[in-house]
Amino acid sequence: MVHEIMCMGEICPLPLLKTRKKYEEMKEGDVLKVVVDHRCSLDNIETYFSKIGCTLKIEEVLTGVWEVYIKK
Amino acid sequence: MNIENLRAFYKTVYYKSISSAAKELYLSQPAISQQIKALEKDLKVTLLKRSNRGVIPTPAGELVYQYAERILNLCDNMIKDLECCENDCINRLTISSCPTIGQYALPCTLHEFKRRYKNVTVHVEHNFTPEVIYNIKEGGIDIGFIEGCYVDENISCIPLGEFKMHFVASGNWEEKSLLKNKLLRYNFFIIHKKCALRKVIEETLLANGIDIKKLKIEIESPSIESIKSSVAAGHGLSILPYIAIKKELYTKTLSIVQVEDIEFNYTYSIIYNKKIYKKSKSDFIDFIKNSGKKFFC
Repeated sequence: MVHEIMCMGEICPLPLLKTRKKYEEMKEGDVLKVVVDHRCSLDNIETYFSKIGCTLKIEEVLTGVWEVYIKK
Repeated sequence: MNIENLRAFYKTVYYKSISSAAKELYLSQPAISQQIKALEKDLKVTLLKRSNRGVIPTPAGELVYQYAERILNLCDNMIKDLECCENDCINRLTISSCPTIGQYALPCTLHEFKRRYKNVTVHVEHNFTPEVIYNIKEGGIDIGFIEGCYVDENISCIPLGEFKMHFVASGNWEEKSLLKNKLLRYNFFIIHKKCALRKVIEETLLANGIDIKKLKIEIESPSIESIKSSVAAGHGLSILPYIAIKKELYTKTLSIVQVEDIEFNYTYSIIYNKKIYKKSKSDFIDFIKNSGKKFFC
């Protein structure tokens, strides 16, 4: 199952907190798609989820807008 | 010269009334009159004319009023900074920013800065570029973010790089590219003259042979958010900074329209008064110089 959260226009640390909350609710094997438009939110999410050993896929869909896919 | 006398005079001219000034300063009317008389004696000029419509400044009073505004602002900021200094490690940093940077690019930078410098309290206000420059020059504000650049004998400027604006239309707009001469057909929602971006728009259009006065300008607004709503509703076109429309481009409520090869380029800069030293200020400037650009939203 693919979950999606929109964090466009939201300021750090909100995107990371929302992503963590959603991630905790997800089942094993689910995928979470997060859309962010701030470089620092992207870095925060990437650092946190790499540390806990998740696989991430990041795509810059527009200049300065990223879709992050996190697999649980 | 006593600074409280200056304040009494300033407030009296501001409200055009001794009684209102007295109310705000928690003093009696005779006390205010006394203070103004003392100031007149110190400066050896008459500052106020009493008339039946209240008090009006003499030409000399007008001059003193303009200086008083700057002196009192500086004095108030000095006192606040002193309080912070006395309370030991609590630092205060005041920022005045033009609206686009303040709303769309600055929040992340501040978050990261506060994460690294935990005991700094940051105050941000949004003003248009000319006011930001004035605040830095005279108002005792530490850091300013402006469109373009500004330098003089007291003010340093650090450019933050080049940014772009685009022609925008609603998401379901069909013509993704237009010819210059077709622009005159559509209604435009344009950023207000007070904003420095307006000058960039006017100059770029002129360089491409378009006089902005010939465009059908429906509304001029200082608020980018309200312009975005009008354009998204399909009422016409606008020219907006990219950083302000990322979200709408992603959700396809707005779209970029390419008009021949017209490109709107402009810069943002940080300005600060190099004659006033403050630790929180130099920390912030170092932070921006070393890693700041990375943290712009």
